[in-house]
Amino acid sequence: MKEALSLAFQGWRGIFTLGFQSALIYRWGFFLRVFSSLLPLVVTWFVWGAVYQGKGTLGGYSWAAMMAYYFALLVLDNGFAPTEDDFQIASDIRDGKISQILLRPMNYGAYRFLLFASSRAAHLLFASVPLAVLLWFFREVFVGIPLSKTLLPAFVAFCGSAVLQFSISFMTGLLAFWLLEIGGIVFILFAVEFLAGGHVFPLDFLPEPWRTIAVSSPCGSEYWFPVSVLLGHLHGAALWHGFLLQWMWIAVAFGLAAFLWKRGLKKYTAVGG
Amino acid sequence: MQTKVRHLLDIWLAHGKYSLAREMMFRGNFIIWMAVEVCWFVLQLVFIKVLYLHVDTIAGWTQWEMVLLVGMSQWMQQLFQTFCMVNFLQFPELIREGKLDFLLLRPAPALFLVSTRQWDIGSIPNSFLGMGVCGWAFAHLGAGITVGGLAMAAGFVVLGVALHWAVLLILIVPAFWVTKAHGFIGVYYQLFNIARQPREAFKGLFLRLFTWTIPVLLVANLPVRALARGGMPPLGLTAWLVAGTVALCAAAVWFFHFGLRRYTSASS
Repeated sequence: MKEALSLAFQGWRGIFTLGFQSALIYRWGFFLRVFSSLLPLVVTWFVWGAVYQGKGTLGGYSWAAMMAYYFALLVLDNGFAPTEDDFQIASDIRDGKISQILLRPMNYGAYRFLLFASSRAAHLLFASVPLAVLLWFFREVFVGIPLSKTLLPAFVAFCGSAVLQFSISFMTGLLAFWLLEIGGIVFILFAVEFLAGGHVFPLDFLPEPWRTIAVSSPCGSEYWFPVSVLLGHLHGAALWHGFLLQWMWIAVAFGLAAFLWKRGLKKYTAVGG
Repeated sequence: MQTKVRHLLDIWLAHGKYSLAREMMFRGNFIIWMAVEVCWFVLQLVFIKVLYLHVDTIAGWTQWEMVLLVGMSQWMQQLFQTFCMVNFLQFPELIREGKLDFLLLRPAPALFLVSTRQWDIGSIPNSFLGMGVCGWAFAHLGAGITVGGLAMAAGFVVLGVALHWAVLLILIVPAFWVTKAHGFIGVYYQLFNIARQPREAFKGLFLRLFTWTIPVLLVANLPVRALARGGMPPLGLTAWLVAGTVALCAAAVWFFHFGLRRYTSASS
C-alpha cells in the first residue's frame, strides 16, 4: 500500500514538473502574457478614477476598495485561472493524444489538473515580481482592508475558484468529443463568466434581481465571491453561505464533467498508431 | 501601375471568394464565431449601462457619447478583423512551420499576401453592428447627420484600420526571431482596449504615450467628440493622428522586411 502510494506520488510529481517546465518553454510568449495581463490595470486605474471623480462611494465601494477589487482579480487571474487548458484538452481528444493516457493507470482529469496547477505555479512565480511591485506601489488602496483576518479564508476561496474554473474549462474541453472546434464556445462562455462573475465590474453594481442571480450563479463563485472575501465584504453567515455555494457548484461541475467524460469516451475512436 | 493595382485587387477579391467558400463549409462554426463577437460587444455596452446607473458623466462624457465611442471602435476593429487580423494571427505559425515559403513564391508582394490572404467573413456583419450602434447612439444624442460628418467618420475609420494594421504588424514581426509570438497578440488587444476609453480619463505619462507615440487615444475619440458635439475635430490632433499613423505604417513595413531577411524557412 505504502509502496503504491509512493509510486503514485512520484508519478504525480513528475507530471507537475513536466507542466512547470512546459509553461516556461516559450519564455518570450510567457513573459509577454504576464506583461499583457498587467496592462488592463492601467485602463482600470484611469477609467475608474474618472468614474469616481467627485464621488465618495458607488455601489458600496470607495475608489480605493474598487482598485483593491481589481488588484485582487489580477492576482486571481494570474495565479488561479486556467489559460489554455480547454484548448489543450480539446486538442488531446481531437488528435487522439488521450489514447496514451487511457492506456496508463492514470486519471485524465487528475493529470490535467496537475498540469493546470503547475502552469499556474510557474505563472505566479514569475508574475509575483511585477505583481509585488504593483501592490507595493499602490499599497494605499489596501489600507482599509483587514487583510490579517481575510487572507486565510480568501486563500481557500481563491483555491475553490481555481478548482471551479478548471472544472468548467475541463468540461468545455471535453466538448471536443462531439465538436470539431470548441473555440467559439470557449469565448462565449468566457464573456458570460466575465459579466456574470463580476470580472467586468463588481456584482454589487447590478440592480436587483440581477445581482442576486449573478451572485448565486457559478460565475459569481468564480470571481466575485473570492475577491469579496479578500476585501472583507462578507462575514459570518454570508461568508459560510458563499463557501457552501462555491463547493456546491464545484460538486455540480465535477458531476457534469464525469458524466461528459463517460459519454465522450463511448464516442471516442482512435485510428492508426 | 494601373495593371499592377488591378492584379492585386483581383487577388484580394479571389481571397475573399475563397474565404467565403471555406467559411460556408463549417456554417455552425461561422455562426458561433459571429456570436462570440456580438457577446463581447454586448458585454461592453452592458458595462456602460451599469456604470451610468451610478453616474451622469465620466470624464465629461455622457452615456450615449460613450456608446458612440464603443460603437466607432467596434466598427474599426471589425473592419480590420475582416480583412487582415486573421492573417496576422496565423503569421507566427507560417514562420514556425516554414509555410511562409508558399507565399514568398507567389507573384505578389509578400506583405500584401501576408496581410490579406484570408478574409474573416463573419466580421462583416459585426462591423455593420458597430455602425448600427453608432447610428443608435447618434439618434439619442440628437445631433444632426451631415454628409461632411459621415465623410469625416469614414475617413477616421480608414485611419483606424491602418493604425490597427501597423500596430499589430509591428507586434507580430518578432515572430521571425521568437518561436512562439502569440503573447504579442495579448498586448495588441490591451492597446486597442485603451482606444475605447475617453481620452480625458487619462493623465500624465499614459496620456502622452497613447496620444503622441501610439495614438490609440485619438483614433476613435476625435471623430466621436466631433460628431456628438457638432463641428470638426481639432486640426492639430487630427494632423498628428494622420502623421503618426503614416509613420507607424512605414515603420511596420520596414520592420517586416527587416525580419523577412532573417527568414530561413523550416524545411529540410
